[in-house]
Amino acid sequence: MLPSPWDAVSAFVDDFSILMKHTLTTVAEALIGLAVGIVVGFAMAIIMDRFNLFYFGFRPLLIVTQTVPTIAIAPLFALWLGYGIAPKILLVSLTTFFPIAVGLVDGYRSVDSDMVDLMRSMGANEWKLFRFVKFPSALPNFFSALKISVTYSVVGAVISEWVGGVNGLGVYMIRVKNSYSYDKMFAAIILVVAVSLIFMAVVNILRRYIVFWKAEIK
Amino acid sequence: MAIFEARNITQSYEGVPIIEDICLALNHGEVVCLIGASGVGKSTLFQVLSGMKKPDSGGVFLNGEDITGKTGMVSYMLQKDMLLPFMNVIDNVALPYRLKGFKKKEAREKVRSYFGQFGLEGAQDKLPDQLSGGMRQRAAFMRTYFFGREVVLLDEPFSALDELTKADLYEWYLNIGGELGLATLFISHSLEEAVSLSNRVYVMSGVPGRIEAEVAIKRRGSLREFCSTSEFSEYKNRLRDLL
Repeated sequence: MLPSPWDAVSAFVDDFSILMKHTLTTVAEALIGLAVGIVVGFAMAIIMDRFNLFYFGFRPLLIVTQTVPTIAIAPLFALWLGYGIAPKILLVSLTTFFPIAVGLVDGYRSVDSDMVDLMRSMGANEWKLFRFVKFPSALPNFFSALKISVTYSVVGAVISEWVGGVNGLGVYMIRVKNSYSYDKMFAAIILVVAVSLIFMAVVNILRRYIVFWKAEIK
Repeated sequence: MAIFEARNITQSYEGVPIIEDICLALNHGEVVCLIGASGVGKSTLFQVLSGMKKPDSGGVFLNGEDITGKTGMVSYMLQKDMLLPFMNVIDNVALPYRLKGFKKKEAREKVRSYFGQFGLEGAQDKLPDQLSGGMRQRAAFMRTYFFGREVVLLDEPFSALDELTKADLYEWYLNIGGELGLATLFISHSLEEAVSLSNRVYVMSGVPGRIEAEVAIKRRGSLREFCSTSEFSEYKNRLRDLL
């Protein structure tokens, strides 16, 4: 039953063009969902930082959204939104916005209160305080959160494809599983891992250039 | 006439009075020290003087104008240098101009020519982490100066520095403060620092904190010479007795 590594590599080579087509779909869903997750995460973090009521009110709700099993809500999204790209994007966004929102709001709130006082004494308003101090200070947290979110995005897209879709590595996995082609299944798994690793590598490179003042903990 | 005055400042926190009936004045070009035991309310007083806190009663006046509760009217520097680690030195120093709405390039041009005067030549493009403690403090002074206010409030500005760097910076600050005509009020826990730098010293004590004494310091000769005189020791002893 269990294919040898060579079988998996061989299946990868044989099905390369098909796998690439499905990979493109999964990557597109993951990236669009991640982008939406980042935007929503940013917006929530700003609101939570600005208003204590939202911080204490939203945080428990955010945690609840993360305890709902992805695999359980994916079919519901497919029922509501069909088999197109929308339910995939929604699921990926839902799984990726949380680390971003929490990472950013923790970054904003960890700014030295003396620095905030100093900026206010210079006459800085909320926007200038955010632009010159809070946002750059939160960038290391953002990139740590982004590393988690990019891996979630790929897994989220694949899970969403499992429950219904036309293209994507998840769809491909279900098909090859139903035909007992476990060598191809392993080829797809390796590809999912490879895509996640590439995403993480890109995040690491971006972090090195953007958060240039802070060495990464190895 | 004093350019900066605090008149009968009283401030409490959660119903507990912290400082009471504080009156002080600062003249043009003067360096004045505020000393007192920890917890006497010196930093609270500075928060009121800088406009970050509105006092329960009393007022703060700059050139006769009531500036109570208004921020951005006097320059303020804290104990820590508070340089932003993600900005190079020139951008840190130019921050007051950025906050006033100048573009990055314009702000840089406004501060660039002052680097030599502040002993920071060649440090413009470095990150704060690449500077020594003394240079960081100089950069923080420079940023404070570009607030563009003639009154400067310094909250324990030298406390994080080693003795040698402190001695250098005392002399440097007296020179540059005189050149730029700054009126400085600073907090210190060091009697030596208070006597070395100040024209006058306010002594705070009690609960709630009050200004209990004012001592005028007559400095003769260079700072180094003055520090080795018997007068210097007498001033220190007098302040110690008052505390």
